Amino acid sequence: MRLRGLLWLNAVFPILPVALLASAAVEGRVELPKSHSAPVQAKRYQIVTKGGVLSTQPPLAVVYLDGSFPQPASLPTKQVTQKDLTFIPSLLPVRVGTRVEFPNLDDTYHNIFSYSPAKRFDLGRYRPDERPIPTQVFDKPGLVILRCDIHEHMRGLILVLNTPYFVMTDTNGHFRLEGLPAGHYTLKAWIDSRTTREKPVELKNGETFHVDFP
Amino acid sequence: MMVIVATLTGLGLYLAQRKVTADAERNLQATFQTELSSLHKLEELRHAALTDRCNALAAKSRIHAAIEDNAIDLLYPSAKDELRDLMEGEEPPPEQAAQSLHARFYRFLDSNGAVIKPLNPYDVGELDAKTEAQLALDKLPDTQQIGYIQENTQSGGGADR
Repeated sequence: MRLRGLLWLNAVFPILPVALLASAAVEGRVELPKSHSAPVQAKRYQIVTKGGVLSTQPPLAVVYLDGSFPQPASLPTKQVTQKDLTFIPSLLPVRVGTRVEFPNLDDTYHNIFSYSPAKRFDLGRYRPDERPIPTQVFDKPGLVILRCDIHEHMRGLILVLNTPYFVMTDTNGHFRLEGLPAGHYTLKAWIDSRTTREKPVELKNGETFHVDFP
Repeated sequence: MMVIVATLTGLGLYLAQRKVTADAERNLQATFQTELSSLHKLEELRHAALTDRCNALAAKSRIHAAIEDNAIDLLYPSAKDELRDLMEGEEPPPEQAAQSLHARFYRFLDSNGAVIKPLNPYDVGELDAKTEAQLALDKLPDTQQIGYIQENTQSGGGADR
């Protein structure tokens, strides 16, 4: 009934895409690890290693709907830039098959590489004005740890997912995923390189499901 | 009278000889201590240089990546690039050995102190199994350790390295 009302409203005031109305949403909160550094205005996100565990600082999570979804013919190209000797963004969730560019916006050389099982590559040393911009296609799900051979402190993460339905939480752990298909799925929250929590969800069209990851 | 003169002369000669002997011994001792001290200083410098080199190697992105990202197959190839200057070239003659670092082999130990086997031992300095086994430790030490391994020479004797 509520859905019919919304459809009628949308027909009169075409402000919401019909696909959104005929889909489900999930919102909630992920309990994030405590931040180890004092909050600073305009602070950059960075990747920290503690006991071999990689996470963002301040902590963030990626929430995604796990399942089997058709692969689109093409995916938009994403970017991880190198600026001020850091990766921006420091954590990038992408779908399997996504091409990622690595533009160098510093005035020094970088040499981005990864030894991660999900993607091994080495872009070699390249200048800020290198053209074409070095790219990689991430064709296997998993966590890819980016490093620079020249600047040893640089770390970046690319989380390659099998699903098109993912979102990053805010720094308080809140998230909202929209446009989800109805059905039984597993909702997962990636928190750091060793911690992924999950919960089963049953999604219904036009409804918002509330999930918290304590 | 002659006896007294001869006795005094003999005593004088004896004391002079003792003094010369004592001086020579003292000088020898001083020289030895100086040389020993410079040898220790040289050894300390070598150890410091070795420590710096190991720390620099351990800080390298590719070494971190190989260990942290479970890419052990890339550990030795990555180290090969970093240690190329130590492994290449002829071993310096003994009189110059103190001034320059040269390696005939290198191995990594895992967190349990066991030797991580290189995929291609030729690249990292070949060692026979018995020699390589001597590098393993019961557990990783908290601080740097310097030790020696005994290897069998072709003549059948042992040699410390």
